[in-house]
Amino acid sequence: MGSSAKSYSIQPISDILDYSRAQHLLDRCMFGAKKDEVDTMTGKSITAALDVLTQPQTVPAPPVSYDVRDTDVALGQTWINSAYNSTFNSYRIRSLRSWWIGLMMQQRTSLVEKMTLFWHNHLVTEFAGVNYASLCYQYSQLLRKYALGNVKQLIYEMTINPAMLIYLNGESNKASAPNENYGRELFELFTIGKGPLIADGNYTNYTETDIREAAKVLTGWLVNRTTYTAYFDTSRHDKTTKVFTNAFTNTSIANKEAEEYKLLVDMIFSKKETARYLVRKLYRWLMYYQIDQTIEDQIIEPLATTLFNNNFEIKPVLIQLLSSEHFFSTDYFGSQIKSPLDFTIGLYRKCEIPLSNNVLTNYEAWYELYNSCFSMEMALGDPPDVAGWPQYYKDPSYYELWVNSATVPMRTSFSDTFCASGITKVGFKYAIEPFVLAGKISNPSDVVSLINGFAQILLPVTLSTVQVQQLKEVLIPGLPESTWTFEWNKYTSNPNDAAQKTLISNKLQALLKSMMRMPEFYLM
Amino acid sequence: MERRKFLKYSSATLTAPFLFQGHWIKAEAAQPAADLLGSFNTGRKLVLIQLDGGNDGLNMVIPTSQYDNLANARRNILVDKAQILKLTDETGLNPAMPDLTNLYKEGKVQIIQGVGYPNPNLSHFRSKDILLSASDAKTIISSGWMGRLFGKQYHGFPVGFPNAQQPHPISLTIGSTSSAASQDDSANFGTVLKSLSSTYVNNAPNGGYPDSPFGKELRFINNVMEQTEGYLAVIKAAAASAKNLSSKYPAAGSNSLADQLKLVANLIAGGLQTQLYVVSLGGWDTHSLQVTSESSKITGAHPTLLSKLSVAISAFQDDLKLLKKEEEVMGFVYTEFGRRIKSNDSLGTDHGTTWPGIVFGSSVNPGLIGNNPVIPVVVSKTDNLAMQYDFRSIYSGIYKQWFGLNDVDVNQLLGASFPEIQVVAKSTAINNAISLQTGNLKIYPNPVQEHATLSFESDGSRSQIRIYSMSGQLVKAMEGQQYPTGIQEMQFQLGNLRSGNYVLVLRQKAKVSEIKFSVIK
Repeated sequence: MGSSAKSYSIQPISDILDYSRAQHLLDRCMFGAKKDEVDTMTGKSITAALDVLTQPQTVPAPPVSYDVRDTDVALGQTWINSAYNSTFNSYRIRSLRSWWIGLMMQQRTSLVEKMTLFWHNHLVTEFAGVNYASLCYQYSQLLRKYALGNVKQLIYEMTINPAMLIYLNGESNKASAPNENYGRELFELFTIGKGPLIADGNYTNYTETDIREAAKVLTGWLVNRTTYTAYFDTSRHDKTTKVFTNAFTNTSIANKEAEEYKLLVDMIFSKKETARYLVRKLYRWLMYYQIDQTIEDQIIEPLATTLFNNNFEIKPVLIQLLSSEHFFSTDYFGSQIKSPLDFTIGLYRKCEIPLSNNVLTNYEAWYELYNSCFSMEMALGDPPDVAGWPQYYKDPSYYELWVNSATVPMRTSFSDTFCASGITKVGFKYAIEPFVLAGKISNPSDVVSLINGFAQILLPVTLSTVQVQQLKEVLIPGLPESTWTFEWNKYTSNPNDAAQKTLISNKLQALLKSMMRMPEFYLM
Repeated sequence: MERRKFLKYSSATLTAPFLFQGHWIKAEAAQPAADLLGSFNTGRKLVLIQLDGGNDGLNMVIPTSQYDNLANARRNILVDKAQILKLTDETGLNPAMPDLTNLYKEGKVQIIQGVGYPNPNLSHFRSKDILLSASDAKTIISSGWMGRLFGKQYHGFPVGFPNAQQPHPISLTIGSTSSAASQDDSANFGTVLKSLSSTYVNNAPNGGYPDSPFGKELRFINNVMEQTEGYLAVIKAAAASAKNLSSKYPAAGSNSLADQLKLVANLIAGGLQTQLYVVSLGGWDTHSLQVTSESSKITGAHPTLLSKLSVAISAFQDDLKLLKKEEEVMGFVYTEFGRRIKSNDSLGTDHGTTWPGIVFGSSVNPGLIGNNPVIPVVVSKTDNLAMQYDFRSIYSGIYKQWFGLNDVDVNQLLGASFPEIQVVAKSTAINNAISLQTGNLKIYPNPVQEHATLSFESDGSRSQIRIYSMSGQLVKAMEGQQYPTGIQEMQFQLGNLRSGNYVLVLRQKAKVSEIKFSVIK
C-alpha cells in the first residue's frame, strides 16, 4: 500500500522507496543523507535498502596522534597501545573524539554509526570520568562491534569492560565492601528498567534486594591500567549463593567465580520486560519520543517479541521497525529534532563539504565540530550522566530540550559560518562549495528549480509556495526571475569570470544561509 | 561519579557550561558586553529606501532645459514638457510625483544629480553589492557601509544582545533578509521584520501547522526562534505604544513601500531607538513597457512606481511631523544603477549608470545638488549620463553631518577620502562630534599559548581588561594599573583559556579598544 499519513501497522511496506521515503529512512539511520545516497536508495525495495544499511562494516583503523606534543607517538601513528601518560592522555582523548566524529562523517550507507551512538547513549561512560584514552577507545569499539549485534552479548562484555569498571566503580566492588553502582544501573538503565514503585524498595521489575545480590555477583573485577585489561581477583569475590526476589522467580546464583556475571545477565534477559524496555529506547532513538497505548500495543509489543524470540539479536528488530508502515507514516517525516551531531555532521554531509586528503588536518576540523556540539550540549564521549542525554528520556520534552534560546544562535552561527568562509585548518578550507551543491540540481538557472532543489537536499518536507516566494526575495529581491537566469547563464558561459563567479556564489550562500535558518532544517 | 550525587549538583536548566579559570561552570546568563557601548547613539535615525532593479532617473528628475535633445533620444517614453512638475527653471519631476514636489518646495528634499562610481558595473547583483559595501568597482568587500560602523560600536554582537543598555535592534530591515548594508565582517546587525507577527522569514506553513508529530515540532522550533529573536518583544511593544497620525497613507496593500514606511514611523513614534531602517520597493527593471503607450506616457509601470515612491515618502514625512519625530529622521533613496539615455523600442530603458539620489527629512540641506545633465543632440544606444558625484560622497556626508563622525573615522570606514556632499543643513549638522578611534592594540604572540604581551596606547588613565569568548562569555577580567601616556606593554597569563578565538577589550578613561586573538593549546 502507498504512503499513509498515520499508520500503526508494524507490517512492512510493500512498494519501492520513492525519494522522500528513501530520505526519511537514511536521515534516521545516518547522520544526514547526501543526495547521491538518497538517489541510490530511491527505487529499491525496503528489503534491499535495509540489506544495505545493515551490512557488517569493516573495523575502522584506530585513532592516531595528531599532536606533536605527544612525543611518545609519532604523528599519524596510533596511540591505543601506548603506555598511559598523564600529560599526553588529554591529547589522545582529543584524538579519540575527532576520530569518532570522523567515522560518523565518513560513514557509508550504514546504520552502524547511528547505532554505535545509540549504545553510547544507552550504556554510558564518560571519557572525563574514565580518563584513560586507550580504555575509552576500547569502550567505543565495543559499542561499534555490537552496534547491530546481540544485546545480551554486548551487556556481557560491557559488564567487565575496563572503562565501565572504572566509571561505575566496579573495580571497588568487593566481598568485604560491595559497591552497588553498576548493579543498580544494570537494572535501572541498561536492561530491564524501573517499573512502578509497588512497595518500599520494590520497583516491580526488580527490588533493592536484587540490586544488593547483583552487586555481590559482580564482585572481584579489577582493571590493569598497564595492559588495559580487566581481570578477576577471586580473593575479592563474594562466594556466597546470591538469592533474588520473586521479581526473578527467586533465582539463586551459586558461586561461579569469573563466569558468574553471565548468569546474572542471563537472569535479567530471561524477562520479556527487558526486551520491552530496550525496544522503547530504540523507538525513541529512531522514530519519535511519544509512545501512547496504541503504539505500545501495536508497535512496541511486536518488536519486543521479535527481540525476545531472537535471543536479543537487534538486527531483526531494526528491520521490522524500519520497514513498517508505521515508520513510513508521513506524519512522522521531519518529526525528529536533530541532535547537535545530526545537525552539524548532517550539514557537512548534505552540503558535501570537502575533507582534506590529510587525515591529521581533518582531525583538527573534527575536533572543532566536537567543540561546537559540546557548546550545543552534546559532548561526544561525555553524556551528562549515566542516564545519557535527557533528550532521549526526559518526559515530556525529549528532543525539544535540544532547542533553546542559547542553542539556536549557536546552530545559526554554525550554519552561517559554513555557508560563508567556513573554517580553515592547516591551510585547508572546510566550507560549502555552493556550485558543487547547485551542480546536484537539475536546472539551477531557474529560480524555482534552484530553491526547490536545495530544499529537497536540505529539508525533510517540500516548501510551500509562500516559502518559495520568500526565498526568491533572498536571491533576487525585487527583480524578475529572468534576472537570475541571465546572471547564472553569464556565469556558466564563462566560469573563469572571477567577479561573476563571486557574485553568483554570494547569492547561493545567502540562499543556503536562509534555508538553514528555517525551522524545517532543524528537523529530520 | 554516582548519578545521584551528580544530579544533586547539576542545575535544572540546560545552559552550556564554559571554562572559567580552569573550572567548568554553568552560565546563568551570558554576560553582555554592555560596558563596551560607545557614545554613538545620538538618537538620529537613517531610513534607506532601496529601489530594486535600477531606476530610470531621467524619467524621474527631468532636465527640462535639455528637453528637445532628450525627446530625440527617448521620444516614445518622455512625458510632455507641459506636464513636468517644476522644481527649478531647468529641472522638474515626473508628473506622477506631485507629493514629492510639494515636499521639495517645503525644503525637505535634496536631489543629487549624477550619482555613480567609476567603471560602473551593469549587473544588478554586483552593482548593488558595490553600493551597499561602499567598495569600488574592482574590489569585493563583504561588509556593508553601515555594518562597519556598527561593528566598531557593538562588540560581540549578536551574543549578549539585546541587553539593558541596548534593548532595541541596531538595524531593522522590513522584508525577508538582512540588508547587506548592515553586514559587518562577522555579523549582520540587521534584524529582519517581516510583519509584526514574526521576525522570521519562514513562519507557519500555508494553512498553519499540521496536526502531526512534524507539525508539533515545527511549531515548537518556530516559537523558540521567535523568542530567541529577543528584539521581537521590544518591537511589538514599540508598535503597540504609538499610533500613526498621518491620513496620507494609501490603503494597506496598495503601496508596499508606504506600508513599510508606515510601520517604521509607528516604531519610531513608539520609541524604538534603532538607528538604521532599510525598506525597499522592487520592479524598477523596466526594459519594456515602462509607460503604457506612446500616447499615454504618464501611466504604466514606471509612473506607477514613481507615484508610490512619492506618496510613500510624503505620507511618512507628514506622519513624522505629526508625531513630532521629524528631527530624528533622515531618509536616503538609492538604486543599483540608472538607465540609458536612449530608450529602446519596447517602450523601456536598458541598464545604465548614474542616477539621481534623494535625501529627505526636515534636517536636510534642501535643493538640487549638481548640474543638469547635458544631453547630446545625437545619442547612441549605449550613451550614459556623466557621473557627477561618487555615491560615497553621500555616505561621507551622512557619516559626518548626520552621525557626527570625524574625518579619520570616515576615511577608515570608506577606505579612502571622498569629498562630502552637504546633505544635512549646516544648522543641524553635528560634524566631528564623535571619535571611533580607540588606540593601537597589538597582542603577541598570536595565537597565544600561555603568556601574552599586550601593546597599547595608554591615555594615562587606569586600564581595565576584559576577555570574552566568541560566544560572548566573559572569561577573564583584569583590573590594570595606571600607565604613563604613550605606547605601553603589559604581560599576562592566559593558560586557563581553552583553544579558540577571543576578544580582548581594553577600557581606558577616554576610549575602549578591542582586538581579536586566538589561543591554541
